[in-house]
Amino acid sequence: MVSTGVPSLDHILGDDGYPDRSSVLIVGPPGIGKEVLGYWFIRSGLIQGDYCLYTTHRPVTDILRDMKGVGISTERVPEWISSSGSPVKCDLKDIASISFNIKEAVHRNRGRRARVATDVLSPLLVLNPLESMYSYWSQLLSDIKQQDAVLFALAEDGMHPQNTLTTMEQLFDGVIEMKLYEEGLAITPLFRVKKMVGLPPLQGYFRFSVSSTGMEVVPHGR
Amino acid sequence: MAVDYLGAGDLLVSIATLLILVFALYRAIEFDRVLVGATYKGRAKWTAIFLASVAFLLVDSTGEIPYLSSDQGNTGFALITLALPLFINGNVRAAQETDFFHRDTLHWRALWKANVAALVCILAIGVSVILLSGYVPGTLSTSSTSWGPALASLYFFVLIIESIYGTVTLIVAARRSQDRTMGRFVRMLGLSLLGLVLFFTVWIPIDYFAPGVGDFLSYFGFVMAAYYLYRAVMSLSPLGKTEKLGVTTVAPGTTSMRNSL
Repeated sequence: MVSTGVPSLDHILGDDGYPDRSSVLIVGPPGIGKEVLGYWFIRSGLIQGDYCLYTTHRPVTDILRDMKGVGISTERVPEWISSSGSPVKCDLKDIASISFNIKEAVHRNRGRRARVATDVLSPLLVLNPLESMYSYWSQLLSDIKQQDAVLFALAEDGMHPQNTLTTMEQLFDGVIEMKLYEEGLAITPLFRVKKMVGLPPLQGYFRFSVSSTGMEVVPHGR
Repeated sequence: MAVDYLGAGDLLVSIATLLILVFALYRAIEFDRVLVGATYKGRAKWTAIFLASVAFLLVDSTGEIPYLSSDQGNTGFALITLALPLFINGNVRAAQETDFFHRDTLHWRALWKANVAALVCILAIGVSVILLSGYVPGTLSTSSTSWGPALASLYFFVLIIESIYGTVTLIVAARRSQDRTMGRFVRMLGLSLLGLVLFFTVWIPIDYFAPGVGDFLSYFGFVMAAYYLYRAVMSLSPLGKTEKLGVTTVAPGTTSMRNSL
């Protein structure tokens, strides 16, 4: 098992975190904090000595700034594939190179467990037809899982037609949905585990909070 | 006894608009509290600040609220003058940030500097004239100097141009942003700015022919601005309803899901 980096989430997922050799998709509207789960996932890997790769369409400086903002130390950083600030560039118009670079990096570190986090799924889905993206991600996930690796992807809710996300969710072993809910006049951020390989369907929602000291997940009751 | 229909209508529209603004402000503060991403959190925060400025302008312009209203809405106008360009700039930048190709919509970044320079120059000259003429209280529009009204008009003109340019840029940036949420948010802001531009301008030609009517009608521009600001806030993130929720059966410290298999 691969720790999520958030102990309370590890507990919900069976005390150990995400399953080995799996792919996990986090779906949620922009700004809700999906990336934070990715940062803690990578942070946990760096502490445990895993090979960590962050593939992003944003500049490295943006990600580092965000990490600091949520209390994650940037003393140790993952390897980057990004739009700027990294030796290997992430060009959204060249999808073949993105896939090749991820697979090559994981293969190069095949002696270690690998953690790959990426936010390029949504941009690629916007810029390419769903059919080609389905086979593209299907192939990429399959190749990654040949190695001892876990891939963690983010998808923006509200950026794609619902059927697009539903289709992509089928490719992943785990899907976590984050969303804001109206409770009277207040707004509450909640998430639910829509599916996770090895787990029965999880009923109920979890309240999460992000602060500069970490991320906390607790069951959301009546 | 004659009934002042225009006055009563004015008051009703003002109260309704204020309620919309206050609710939108509350929602914006809530979104600022729960959102994590810097871009969206920043938008929520700035929208809250802008909403407070617009609400203050509304209260101030009625001239009837003790301690809050100034003579001609000058304080509210000064506040909105300060907040508006910054708010528009922040939103255009945010929309450009969410554009995967980071295009400079309508050359906003380049021309923004010229806009700031124009506003700062006019403001500096205005303040200098007021200080040199020894006229301390009031604002440019009530200055006793002959420069005052001319500078006020110029300043007002630049602000209107800035608002129109900002409105068009926001709408174009919204169309370009692949992030639909940001696109919707920015489009709503563009429409609310359009409402404000109408509020600032529509009374001038109408009041010329029918004194008092233009002032009343201009408030509909304000209602439009308030309504679309509310829609903008609500478009920051889709909201689910708790009625559809189940209840989590696993509590921390007890058996986890996997162990319960």
